Amino acid sequence: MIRKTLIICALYSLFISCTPAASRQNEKLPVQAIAVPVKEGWGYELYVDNKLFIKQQNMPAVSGFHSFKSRQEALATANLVLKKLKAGKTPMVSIEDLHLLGINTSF
Amino acid sequence: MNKIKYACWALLATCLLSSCVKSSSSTDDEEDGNWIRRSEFEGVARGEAVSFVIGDKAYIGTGYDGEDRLQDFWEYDPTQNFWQQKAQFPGVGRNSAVGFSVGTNGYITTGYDGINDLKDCWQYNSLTNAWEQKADFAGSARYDAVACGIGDKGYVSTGFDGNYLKDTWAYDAGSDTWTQKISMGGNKRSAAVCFVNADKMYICLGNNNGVTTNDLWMYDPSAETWTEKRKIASISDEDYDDDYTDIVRYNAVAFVLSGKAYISTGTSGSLVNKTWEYNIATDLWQRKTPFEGNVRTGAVAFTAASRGYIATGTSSGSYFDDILEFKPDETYEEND
Repeated sequence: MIRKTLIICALYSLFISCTPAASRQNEKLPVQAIAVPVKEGWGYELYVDNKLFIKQQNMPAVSGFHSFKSRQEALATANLVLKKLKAGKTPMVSIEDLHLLGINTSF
Repeated sequence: MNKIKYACWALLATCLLSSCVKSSSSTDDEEDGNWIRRSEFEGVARGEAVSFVIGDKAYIGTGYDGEDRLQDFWEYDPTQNFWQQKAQFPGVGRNSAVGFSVGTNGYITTGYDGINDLKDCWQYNSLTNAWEQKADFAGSARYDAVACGIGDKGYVSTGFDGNYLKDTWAYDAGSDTWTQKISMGGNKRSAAVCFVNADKMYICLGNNNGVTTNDLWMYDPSAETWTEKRKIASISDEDYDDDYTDIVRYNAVAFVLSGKAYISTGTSGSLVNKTWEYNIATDLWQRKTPFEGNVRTGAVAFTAASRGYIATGTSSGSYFDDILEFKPDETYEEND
């Protein structure tokens, strides 16, 4: 019994001593989305861990090179991408996503 | 005796308590703060995607993320290390398709949508950021084929359509037509790799019925001939190949840097991280630093701006989003 308890304790301490690796996995990376002016409109940039991750100079998913017509549209899209990122999803935007944000994608 | 017992229980309780304190401290405040756990950070994660290179940019799209077969399509800037999402791939989401580029256009064809093998072919125009459907691939619908662009043509070979394949097709981008060429020699196979050097296509690796293939073939499009190179396993009586114990595999990646081809990752019984360098001029292989990221299969590789990269891929339910640059001369360490 005692030996068993001792073993459990030893294993448990080992487990705890291992958690620095796990807490690195739990490490909080700062994420930030900003709207940036581009040629004839707006785009956005996404930073993860203070490093540029996505630089979107044109509307994502949309054919051609169309920038967002307002800062608000760019920021709304960037925030949607942030939301997906924070939910552990691929930071992609579909044309339907843009429509749901009220953004016109027919040119 | 009892004392020791109590001491043990006390220790166990402390352990438990401390673990509780730990976990509660990591779930505190700022649920909606501007941060994300490193472990939950998903980039453009996926397996069995396609990639092609136009100019100094790499394009990666389609693939499977464990839930969906994907249609998003991304441009990666290797010099500045950022992504930009491009026009959505208009074909059905798919994995194990092939991609190649001709001039300023990229092409995606074949693949698997979860139900059907595919043969539709789509052109991505990098100058207009737009997709256009082109003539269907003229061979059988298939997945896990290989493809490359040479001059003004694309070449698609091998793959799996219910049977292992080695038929070879050329796509003439100018006339939008597919023409069958002489089939590759050697074994039929799927999940092979191909690479291009000096306008010649090389195909190796892959599997036939789960058995890895050990032959390497070169296709010369101008002469329309296949030539077999030395085997890539230790089977000759000479000693040059004595170390060739773990080159063969499937679902690997290949890329070329200054006259040498590199293969890495993939599967052979289990996941493989061994990297090999193929000296195209001497037809000899040399072992290099194993792949340093998470071991994986179904990755993509590309050479852009004279640098070689391995990206994405999968391993037992994990889908990777990272991009690792391979520097053959700088990272080689015997201890690695």
